[in-house]
Amino acid sequence: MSEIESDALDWAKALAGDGVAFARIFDRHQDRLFRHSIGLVPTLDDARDVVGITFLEAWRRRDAVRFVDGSLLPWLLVTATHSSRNVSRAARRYRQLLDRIPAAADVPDPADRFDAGPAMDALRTLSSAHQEVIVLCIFEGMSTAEAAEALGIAAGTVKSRLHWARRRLAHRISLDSSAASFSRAASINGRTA
Amino acid sequence: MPSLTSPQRDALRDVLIETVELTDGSRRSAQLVRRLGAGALASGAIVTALIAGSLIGTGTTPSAEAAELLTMAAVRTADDMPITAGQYMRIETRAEYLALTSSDGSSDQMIGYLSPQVNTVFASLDGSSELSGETVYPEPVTFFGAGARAFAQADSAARVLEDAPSSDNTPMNGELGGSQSPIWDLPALPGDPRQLLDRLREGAVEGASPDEEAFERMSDVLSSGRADAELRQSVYGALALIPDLTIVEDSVALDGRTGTAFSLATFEGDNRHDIILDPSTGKFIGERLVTVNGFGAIPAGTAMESTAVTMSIVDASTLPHRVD
Repeated sequence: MSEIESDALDWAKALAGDGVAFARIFDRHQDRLFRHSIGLVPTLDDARDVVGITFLEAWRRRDAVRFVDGSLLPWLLVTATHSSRNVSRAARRYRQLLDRIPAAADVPDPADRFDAGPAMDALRTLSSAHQEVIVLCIFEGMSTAEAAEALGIAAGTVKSRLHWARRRLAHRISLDSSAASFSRAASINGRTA
Repeated sequence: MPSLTSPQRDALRDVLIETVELTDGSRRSAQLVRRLGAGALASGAIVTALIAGSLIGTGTTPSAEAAELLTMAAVRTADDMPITAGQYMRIETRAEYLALTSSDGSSDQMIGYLSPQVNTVFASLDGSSELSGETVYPEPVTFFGAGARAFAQADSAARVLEDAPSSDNTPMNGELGGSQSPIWDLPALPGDPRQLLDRLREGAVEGASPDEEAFERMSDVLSSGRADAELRQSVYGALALIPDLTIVEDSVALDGRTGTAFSLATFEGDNRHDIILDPSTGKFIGERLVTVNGFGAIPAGTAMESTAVTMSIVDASTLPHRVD
C-alpha cells in the first residue's frame, strides 16, 4: 500500500472515530511539515506550534480538507503556511493543547531565531495567495493542475499567481541583496550602513 | 536539519488521538450553512451609526465619495432571502482567469488567454446535505498575443487528460476559488467595522501593506458567497475606512450587471484590486485584479482575474443531481 493510499484510508478511519489512524497521518507527514515550518517562523518552538496547529486545523476543518492524488500533504503544507503568518494568533484556539507539548530541547536561547536564508525571508513577504503557489509549485514541485486541485482554484489562476509571485519574490530578493551589498560596502568603507 | 524531538512527537500524537476520540460528531459545515439563511440581525440604522462612529476620529482619509457610497451600500443591504427546509442556496460564480505563458521565459514575451469557468454550488439550510457543486469550463474567447490560441488548446487538452471529471468539483469550505484561509472563520469575525478592519489587517506580510492584506481578505469574504447580510454590511463599513481606497470606475459591467469599482493599488503598483458593488442596493457583484500598465502581449487595463457571484434560492426538485 502506498503512502497516499494510506492517507486516504487512515482519514476515513479517523472520521469514524479512530484517533490512532489520525496519528498515523501525523507520523507520515510531521517531519516534512516541521522542516517546512522552521523556515517560516522565528523559533523552533513556533515551528512545533505550527505543526500542531496544522493537524488540529485539519481535524477542525475535516469537511474541508482536500486530497491530491490521495495525499493530504499539499493541504497540510498550505495550512502550515497560513498558520505561520501569525502563529501566536493561530495558536490561541489551541493554546491549552499545545502547552502539553514540551519545549524544544538543547536550544541554548529560546529567543534565538532560526535563520532559513534569504529565500524564506522573501517568501514571508508574499501575500498568502502567492505563498501558496510558491510552496506547492516551487518547493513541492507540483504541476499547476495538482496545485489547482490542492487549492480549489483553476489551473489558469495558479499560473497567473505563480507569475506574479515569482516577480514579487525576485523583486524582494533583489532589494535584500542590494541592502546587503550596501551594508558590506559601507562596512568596508568604515561607514555605518 | 532540526526535527521534533521524540517527547514532542509523542505528546502531539497523544493530543491528536484524544482530539479525534473526544469529537462528538457534530459537523461544523452545518453551522456555517445555517448562517447563510439566518437573516440579518442589524438594522440599517444601527449599521449607519456603527459606520459613522467608526469614521469619526479615525484620522484616515479615504476618498469621501468612496466612503459615502460604501455607507449607502451598507445601509441598503437587504436582509438575506428566507430559506426553508428542503430548499437550497444556489451560488453561481462566473470567473475568468488570465492563463500566462512565455516563449522565452521573460515577461516581455508573455502571451495569454482568459480562461472562463462557471462554478455552481448548492447548500442546504439544515446542514443535512454537504455543499456540492459543479464546475464547467466554457471555451475561451479572449486571447492575447501570437500563439495564445494554441496555448489555450494545449491547456484544455492537458486538463482533459489530468482532470478527467471536469465537473462535480466540490469547493473547499467557505471558498469558491478564493484562498484557503483556515485561521479566521466567518461567524467569528467582528461586526464593528473598525474592529473588523483591525482583525483583517492582523498578520499582514512585510511586502504588502496591512490595508492591502485586509482588502484581499474582504474580497475573499464577499466572493465566498457565504457572508450574510450582517457581515456584508460590516465589510462595506470596514472598506470605507481604508485610507487609499478609490473609485476608478463608477459604471463597471461584470456578468451583465453594473456597479461601482472600489479599488486599491497592490504592492508592485502596477496592479490594482477592484471590489465591485451596486451601492444603490448593497449587492456585491464581483471582484477583479487588473494590470494597470499591461505587460508582454497583455494590454493595459486587462482584468487578470475576475469573479462575479450570483445567489438564489432553489427547491430541491430543481437540482441537477442529488447533493446529499
